[in-house]
Amino acid sequence: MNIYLPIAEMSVNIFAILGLGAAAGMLSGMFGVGGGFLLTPLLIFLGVSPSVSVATSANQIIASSVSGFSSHWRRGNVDFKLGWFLLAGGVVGSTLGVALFRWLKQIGHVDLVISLSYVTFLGLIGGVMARESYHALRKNGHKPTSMLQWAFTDKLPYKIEFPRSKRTISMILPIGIGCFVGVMVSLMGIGGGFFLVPAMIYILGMPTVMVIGTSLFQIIFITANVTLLQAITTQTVDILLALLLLSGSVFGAQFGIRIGTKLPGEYLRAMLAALVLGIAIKLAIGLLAVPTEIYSVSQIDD
Amino acid sequence: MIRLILFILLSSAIGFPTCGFTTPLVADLSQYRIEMDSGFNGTRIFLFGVRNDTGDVVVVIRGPEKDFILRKKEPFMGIWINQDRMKFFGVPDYYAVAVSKPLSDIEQDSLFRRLGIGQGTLISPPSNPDKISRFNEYSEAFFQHQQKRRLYTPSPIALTFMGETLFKTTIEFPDTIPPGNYTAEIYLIADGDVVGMQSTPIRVSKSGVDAFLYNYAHQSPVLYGITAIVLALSAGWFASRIFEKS
Repeated sequence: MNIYLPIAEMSVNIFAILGLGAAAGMLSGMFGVGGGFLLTPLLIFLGVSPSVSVATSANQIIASSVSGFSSHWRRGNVDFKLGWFLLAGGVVGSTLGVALFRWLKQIGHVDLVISLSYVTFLGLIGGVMARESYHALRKNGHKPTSMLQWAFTDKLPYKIEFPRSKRTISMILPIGIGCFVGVMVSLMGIGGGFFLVPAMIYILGMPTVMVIGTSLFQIIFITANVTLLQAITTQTVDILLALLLLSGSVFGAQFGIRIGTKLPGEYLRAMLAALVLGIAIKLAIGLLAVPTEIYSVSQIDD
Repeated sequence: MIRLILFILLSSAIGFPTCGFTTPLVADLSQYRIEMDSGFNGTRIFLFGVRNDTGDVVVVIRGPEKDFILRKKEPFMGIWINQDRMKFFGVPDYYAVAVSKPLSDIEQDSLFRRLGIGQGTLISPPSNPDKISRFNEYSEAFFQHQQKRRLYTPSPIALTFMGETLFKTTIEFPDTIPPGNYTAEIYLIADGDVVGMQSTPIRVSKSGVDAFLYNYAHQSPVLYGITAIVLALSAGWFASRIFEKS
């Protein structure tokens, strides 16, 4: 069964999109990540243009972040004070990122930059995760290093106390991290949990309980900002596509939560690491191999 | 449809004895509008016609004209990166030709070029002969790209005659067609000249929910963006309420 998408201007198989949403939802249920890193490349693979994929993924991530955020909020696991600083940086970063995306599209390098960002960051994060889960599975008590934390935290000015996280750190850190994540959200069509969670643990030194809820708080606003800016500047947010992805992800998430509670944490982390590395390798091959289409054609809009 | 067939039969029956008075060519389409709603997955239009004179019939369907930029990937430090590029202006995004016999058999290059019959006539080549090979490379790549999206056909569509005068053809419109104003041009060509011609517009537009969402997105982008956000927020909130209960 096919459905014609008004903004993507193509007909897609309704079950393929629902399935894709379900897969992204399952990831968020199982691992607590947004699933955008799976969604955007697969939408592009289905033939949706990169601009529509990135903008619509941002729209769908709002929904999955809200449901995660509300349960963390009820348990009091959100550091709003720190969240606002992250957000301030995030709004600046995502606004810059949308402008950067538009410029890259004009000069014809947007596909390349999306692929390169995925390969670089998914490769790095997947590698670190794989290394940690290897040690965890071998049970030799490997502790993640907090060298980054030592290097940054003490030397920067404008220190502020964040009582909920029991930290006193320079405000430059959360603003800077938020800004960087904002740029990545608008370029890669992801929520940014991948960057935020490790950055909050290793750079800001936040307690792990606070990390997920606080990062989701920031992600909601950043993806909303990206959605709004893309709707205004490029008209590439496809509400129909987002709604289909959403409906799939609601069911997928429920399924994912059930699997997630049954499997031990170390296995879950190893599986996620394998998935992340797999996508990075797939995209890296795409960059290095002789492309099936040497020429690309795009319309000149303005 | 019945009216159309009747009309064709009548005009062919009456047309011949009074040859001097009839128009040389009469044709009609099964529809003049293509509406793309959420169930749209491509469509086809039937074209029927009668020739009251000898000659070859050529049908040309043109979509809205667009400007295109082509980029060529070349390896740079091991990575394939877009480098060289070429722009084509005012080229139809959709193009189909239907003929009763191969275009090469009609052999009217200058006439075809003037009327824009055949893919090769759509993009004007550079006047500098040194640039021809690069131009040919890019225009070929453009045709390949359009064919892959099923917006161009690799070879002309068959146009069949039923008897001497009645002809018909079927034109495919895939789900990837751009909305806009299309034209169907029907030519009767004899001895290197056009002896009959008819042009009919076809309107391709979104309808229903798709038209509403598309217009909303383009006419009030700020409200559209806010709607998208509110929808996602409420869907997420709603989902979390269901989770909490179960």
